[in-house]
Amino acid sequence: MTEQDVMKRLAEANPVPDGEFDGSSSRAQFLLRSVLARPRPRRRVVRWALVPAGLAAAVAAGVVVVTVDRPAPPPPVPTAATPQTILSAAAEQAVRAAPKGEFVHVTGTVGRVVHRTSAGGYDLIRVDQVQSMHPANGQPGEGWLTIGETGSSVRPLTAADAAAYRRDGSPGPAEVDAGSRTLYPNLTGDHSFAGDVATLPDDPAQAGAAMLAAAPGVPDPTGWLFREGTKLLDTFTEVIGGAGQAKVYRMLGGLAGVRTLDTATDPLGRPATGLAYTGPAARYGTVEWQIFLGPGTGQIMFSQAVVRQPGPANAGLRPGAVQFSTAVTSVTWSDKP
Amino acid sequence: MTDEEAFTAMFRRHYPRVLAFVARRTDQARAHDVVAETFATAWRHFRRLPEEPLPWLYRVARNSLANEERAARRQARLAERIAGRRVEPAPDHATAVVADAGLRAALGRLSPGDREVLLLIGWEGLDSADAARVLGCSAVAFKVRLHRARKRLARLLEAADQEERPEPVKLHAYEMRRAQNSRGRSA
Repeated sequence: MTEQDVMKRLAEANPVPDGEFDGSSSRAQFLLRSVLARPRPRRRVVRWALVPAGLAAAVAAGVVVVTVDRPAPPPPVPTAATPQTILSAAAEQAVRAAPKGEFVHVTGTVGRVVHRTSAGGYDLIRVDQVQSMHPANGQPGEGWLTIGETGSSVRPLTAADAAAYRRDGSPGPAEVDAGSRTLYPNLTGDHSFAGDVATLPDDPAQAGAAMLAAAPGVPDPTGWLFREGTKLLDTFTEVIGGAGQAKVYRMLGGLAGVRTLDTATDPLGRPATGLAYTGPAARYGTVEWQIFLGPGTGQIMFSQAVVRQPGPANAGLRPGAVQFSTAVTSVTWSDKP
Repeated sequence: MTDEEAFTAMFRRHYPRVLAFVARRTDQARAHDVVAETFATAWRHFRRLPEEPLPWLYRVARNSLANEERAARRQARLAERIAGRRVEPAPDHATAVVADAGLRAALGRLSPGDREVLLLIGWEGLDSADAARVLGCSAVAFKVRLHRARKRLARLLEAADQEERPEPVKLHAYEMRRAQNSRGRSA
């Protein structure tokens, strides 16, 4: 066999032929937007200049470094606003927002940690595509929501999980049990708020008390209000109109323990304001519930549950791991359902 | 043209090839993470990218993959210490996905350095100058490495093909005579 034959045989065994991937696919476009949304470091130009002979005694090396800053676009600055200020502004925006169409079409993803017991046990991140359509501004009418119907993927959580994943035969999303496909996995065993937001009092404290009256005995009332309130504001379903959203935003603004995150972007790198509440989550240890509001709209564009202290149900996770997340990637209005 | 527009054009031109490059070396699930990290790095250093950035992008992707592999080895060593037994290392992905059994065996016996030299030419279709930029060596040094790696692969491939060939069936003397007679009749 000649060396040319060897190279020909090698080329024929190429497992990923050229042209397999498309630079204009939705995944590529999403990555491009995410990358461009990231801040870039300020450019620093370093100039080297010889030191005049008369000054050489002072500088043995004979060179000095002159650093010149050139103007560059300012990176996003973390907000110093309080949760009350942010949520009050979001309430105002919700009241003022005028519907741009009869129906709202939303796309995004929901991701969660899935534990597999095979190959010695390991963790995967499962990401399902989400699509929904609902009448705008909380109007009555039928809507729909699909999770995973337009695509799903799985990937190992850590490098150690990757090794176990390969030993397990690298199962695809169809082989990995998704469990219950919901937008927000119930880590705390919460009872959902089923009352009518329109009947809640306008006063934030009284609105919170009225919601809690529907769920007596919850172990962490503030955490329950934060979670149920953010679910009522969910962008995929938008079950309540602008006036109802304003009530919920103000109720959240009255909760003690909610804090502003020191970031100017969401985890996808898009400009956003982050709020968080940390509390117990039964068998999942201590969890920090985070929401990220889009600038100018106040809509929740990203939410995630970050594990701060693992519990019995997620003992294999490290503090900082994301137990689940939802990301809204597009919101479009139309007069057609 | 703004930086954003120039980067978008560069991204659209090279994304498919960078993703294919990484997908040949790791599983699909991790490939997208590595590609995202590669282009995020490219965006950070965009003004300093060479005029033809593909070899540079491949080099960043290789470094990212190498970092992951180092982390995986650390995790495996830790797991070994905890479990008190040896954890078998996962086979190299680029080798494991080759369908040609003889070639797969031969590639598996090559050193990682020789293998990468050959794959840059055989799978990525680079010329020696660009492949040398990916590996950070001179074109002359790369040509020498390629020549040696090709020779080694040819030798290993012949040996692997021999192993793959089924052993001849030993016939009993009576069966041999029958076989000869039947050939004689049909002729």
